[in-house]
Amino acid sequence: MLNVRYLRIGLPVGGDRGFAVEDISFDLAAGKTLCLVGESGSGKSVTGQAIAGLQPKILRGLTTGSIKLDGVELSGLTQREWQAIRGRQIGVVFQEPMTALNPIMKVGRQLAEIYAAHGIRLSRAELRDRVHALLERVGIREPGRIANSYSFEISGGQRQRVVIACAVALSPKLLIADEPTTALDVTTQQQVLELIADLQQESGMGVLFVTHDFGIVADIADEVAVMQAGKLVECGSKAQVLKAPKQPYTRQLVDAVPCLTECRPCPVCRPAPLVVFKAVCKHYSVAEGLFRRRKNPALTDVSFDICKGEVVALVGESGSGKSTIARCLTRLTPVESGSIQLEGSDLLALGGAELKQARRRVQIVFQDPYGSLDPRQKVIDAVAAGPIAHGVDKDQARAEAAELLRLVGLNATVLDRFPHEFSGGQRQRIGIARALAVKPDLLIADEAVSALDVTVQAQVLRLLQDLQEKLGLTMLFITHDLRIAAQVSDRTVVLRNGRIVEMGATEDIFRRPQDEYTRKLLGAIPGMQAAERSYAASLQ
Amino acid sequence: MQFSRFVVMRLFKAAAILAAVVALNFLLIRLIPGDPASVLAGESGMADETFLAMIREMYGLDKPLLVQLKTYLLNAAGFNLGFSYPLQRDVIDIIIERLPATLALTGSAFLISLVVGVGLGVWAGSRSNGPVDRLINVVVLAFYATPGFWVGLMLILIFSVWLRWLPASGTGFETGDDPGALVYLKHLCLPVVTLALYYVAVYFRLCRTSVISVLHQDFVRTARSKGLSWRAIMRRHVLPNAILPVFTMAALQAGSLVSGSIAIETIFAWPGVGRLGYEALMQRDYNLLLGVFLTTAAMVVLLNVIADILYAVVDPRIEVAR
Amino acid sequence: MTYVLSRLWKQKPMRRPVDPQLAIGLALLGLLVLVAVCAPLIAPYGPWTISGAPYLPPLSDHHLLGTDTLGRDVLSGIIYGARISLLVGIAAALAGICIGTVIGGLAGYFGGIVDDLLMRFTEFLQTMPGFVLALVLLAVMGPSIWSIVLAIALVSWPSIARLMRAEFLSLRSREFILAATVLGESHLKIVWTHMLPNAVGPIISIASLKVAAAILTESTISFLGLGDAGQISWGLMIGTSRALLRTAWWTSVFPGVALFLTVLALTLIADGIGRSLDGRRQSML
Repeated sequence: MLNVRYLRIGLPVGGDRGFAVEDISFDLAAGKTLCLVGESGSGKSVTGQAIAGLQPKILRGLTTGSIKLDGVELSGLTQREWQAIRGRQIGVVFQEPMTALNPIMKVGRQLAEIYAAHGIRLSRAELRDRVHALLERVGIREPGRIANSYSFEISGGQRQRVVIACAVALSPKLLIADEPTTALDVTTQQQVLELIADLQQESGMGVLFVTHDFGIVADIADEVAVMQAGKLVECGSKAQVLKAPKQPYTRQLVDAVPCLTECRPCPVCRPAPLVVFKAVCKHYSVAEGLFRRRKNPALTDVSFDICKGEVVALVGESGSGKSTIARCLTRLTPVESGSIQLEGSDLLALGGAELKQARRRVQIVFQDPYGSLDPRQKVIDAVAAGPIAHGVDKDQARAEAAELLRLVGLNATVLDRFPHEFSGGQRQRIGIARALAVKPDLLIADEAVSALDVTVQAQVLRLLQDLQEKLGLTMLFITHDLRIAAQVSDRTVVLRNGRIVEMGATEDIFRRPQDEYTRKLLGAIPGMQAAERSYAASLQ
Repeated sequence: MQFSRFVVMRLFKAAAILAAVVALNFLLIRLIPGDPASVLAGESGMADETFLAMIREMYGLDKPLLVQLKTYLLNAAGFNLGFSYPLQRDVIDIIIERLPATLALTGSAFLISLVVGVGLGVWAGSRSNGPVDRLINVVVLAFYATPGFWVGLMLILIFSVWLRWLPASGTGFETGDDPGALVYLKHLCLPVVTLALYYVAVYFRLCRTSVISVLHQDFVRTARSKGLSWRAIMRRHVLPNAILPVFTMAALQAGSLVSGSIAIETIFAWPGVGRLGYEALMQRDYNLLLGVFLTTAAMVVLLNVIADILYAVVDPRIEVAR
Repeated sequence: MTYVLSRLWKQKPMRRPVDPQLAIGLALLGLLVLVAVCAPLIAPYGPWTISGAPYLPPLSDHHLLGTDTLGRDVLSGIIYGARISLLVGIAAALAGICIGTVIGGLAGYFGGIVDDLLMRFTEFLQTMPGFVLALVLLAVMGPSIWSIVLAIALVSWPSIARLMRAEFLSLRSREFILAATVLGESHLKIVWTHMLPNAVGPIISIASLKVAAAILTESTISFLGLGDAGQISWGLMIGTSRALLRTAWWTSVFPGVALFLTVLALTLIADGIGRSLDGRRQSML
């Protein structure tokens, strides 16, 4: 149905490389799902956009090759001709549901305008009924209320359903989904994936699914196309690409996916606790009007402990309070009640020099490799700044910083460079070196590998594990990705809406989850069914 | 929060700001060196003793400072802005007499600049970096960089002195008899254009930037993916989102519009509040000057309230912030 | 120069060709500064010197731009006037930026009640009609160059404070600031080594616009005859020759052109910096 031949998208002069996409060819049959997989910068998104004629303006003139939909050539169409294709024959779903909808137009009207745009004249009542039916079809329970809402009034999952409704309103032959679940929580992601599968079954449309997540590929793909740096590396059926990849790059990608089947064995006995949380409660207050403030609970009655030398994983969906715990522990945010003890001393009661000392013992590595380093500070100075603030001699601090950077895998030539000269993975290594420079007792990794590509993610995880063993670090590993938690932690704490729902040895949590919510989370992990099947097979 | 409550809160805030302006006025009087009574009377030493005594009594100048502040606030609340000694009239009467001319000037300049500026801004912004955009940009940049009073002089030079098309000063009503609306409009022409040119540039720049930034938003791409035409996307998605911030800025800029009218009214001998302020300054008629200051501030505060309320009506997101 | 500037506010040196508008703006401004600094060397006469017959038109012998009502050379007046315009513009903008940065920075860094109080005050001043307030302040302080500078600075800082507050507020929640806090760096050090350097781009851009605005305000004040009558300035020249519009147009046209070019240069610079801060975002349409 969809035939792409020698698609080539050039980049404007001065870019990192000459082409965003170079001579790629693939086919997609009606009713099938093709997953376009690759790491960031591989050109997978722009390929998806080009098939709908939605690539950025400056790239339009640089696109060559043939895109045929049901035998009709699409490349070279004028924008006016594209208008008739888009929405009617090709639907598109984007990554960010928050920004994909017009914030000041009611959701129902944004759906209704599709009919007018394609020349379908309907009376007001007919239009309303169609919109409501469409919303029901994408699994929205109160279509009347949602149609009459603005996008900021509904949840992220609902928003993505509305965007999907926009895409499938006129039953297109092809649905292009560009990372549609990346911004969603794992349980919502599962629902959205199921919705797309349902719609596909109903209408027999072809789905081009752009993603970076091999778990999703394992769950939904019929065919898989792997891209690297603008080139199509490998293309074939799911079974062939995942089980017996021909290319080393594909193998590397598949192997880098953290796997649930190998949990760390639980430690037999637990040493003395380093950090103890006792009944910690915290809320954020939100201004409501001029004088009133509403309290939003962020943490409710949270109690757990971290023992010396342990790796504890904090898992939960967005808004579960896992990052708030990191901020409470580093005293970046105040706590309303309860206590946090650091080796017996009350962390919350400290101030002045004592607080500075205590903070030194608890260091943090942040999520965003681009935001966590000062763009105007040399790498060596960033790493040396901590020890200097704690009174270490400047020259000595810089010498130690150089040593640390070597320890995290960066060589001596990088010392005087600025952060922008490094890749995401290298920046995270610098962030780790900066945290270790003040010799902390506890290292918090707050989604430290979430923003990284899967191969880089695997490398940084390995580095963290090596360092943990070598330096005997205690670690608090905060993540939304349960696969990573299973791989790195000794114990796991599951959070939901600011409360602990379950905690225990990681192996117990993953093999024998007690709580309903934990089971739901585990069930929603992409690639889970496939992995379970192969695990069961390996046991037999 | 209900809408009525929001309006009441906003008015309450406006009243607080006005009270603060009055207090600032009071502070400024005390800062002027010399006996406050004779400062208020205008040119020191000119006023006679009975008048000074009257002022002292009216403002309670022999009482403690806080009591004085209270008296001053209460006077202002009752629209009593004092007496202009050089003009021998109540300040509020003079201002009310001059207000219509200023409102006609600033009001028409505001409307013209908003319409022209926003229109050009949308046109250029939707074709950013094209030839149209570049051309408009250069022309508007010239408006932006020229001082208003000089533009006024140049317009007089060209249209009154050389071409003799339009009158250079006054309203045409000075002699007392009514020469008709056309004459008034002819007199209004040059000052309005002078004042509007700069604000055309201001609203153009705001609007163009705003349109360009909306064009970068994801929902524009979504609208394209639905198969909407360029025209429909501009009209239904880009414009409503782009014009909202221009509204708020327009209200904030209105303050400087009133300020800008001082020089313009002076050049064109336009009998408005701005020129009144200039005359008060020249005469050292502080009471009148502070009255003018208070009036202009009140106008700006009022405009801001109106803009805020309009914004809350138009933008659904404000409800959440409340 | 462009490279140095680009280092200041962008992490990456620009590989793009130099923005022509920015280049023109910088060149014009450079020329103006040169003229102002070397005024005694390049001006044919003193600004107040009666050097020829009155009302000589432009292109007369020895008087390129003509003479005024007393026979003073217009070109020399313009050359010396550049000093006052630039001096007042830069000094007032600098003072305004200092006040604005300190107040906005305090509000944005500490937040909470400090932020509330400072910002209420800032908003209050921002709703004031600035030019009228400046005139009132001037009436209180008496006309002199430094009271003009002070009056302009006092009415121009609120918008800078709001910008800096927004900058600091967004920087404060950035992860590298949090990391510095956890590492134990002091408030002063964090503000000085991390926050200010990262806010420098917007500061330069707004500074350029503020200098332009201050020059315009100063010229309007002088034009109205409310400034320092002992200092030659472009506004004063236009103001005193206002009555001569019919007989000697050149006396008011040329100082206005000088004013126009100066403000244009500064606006071009501000726009150019603003564009490079915006980066290369792509339109979705």
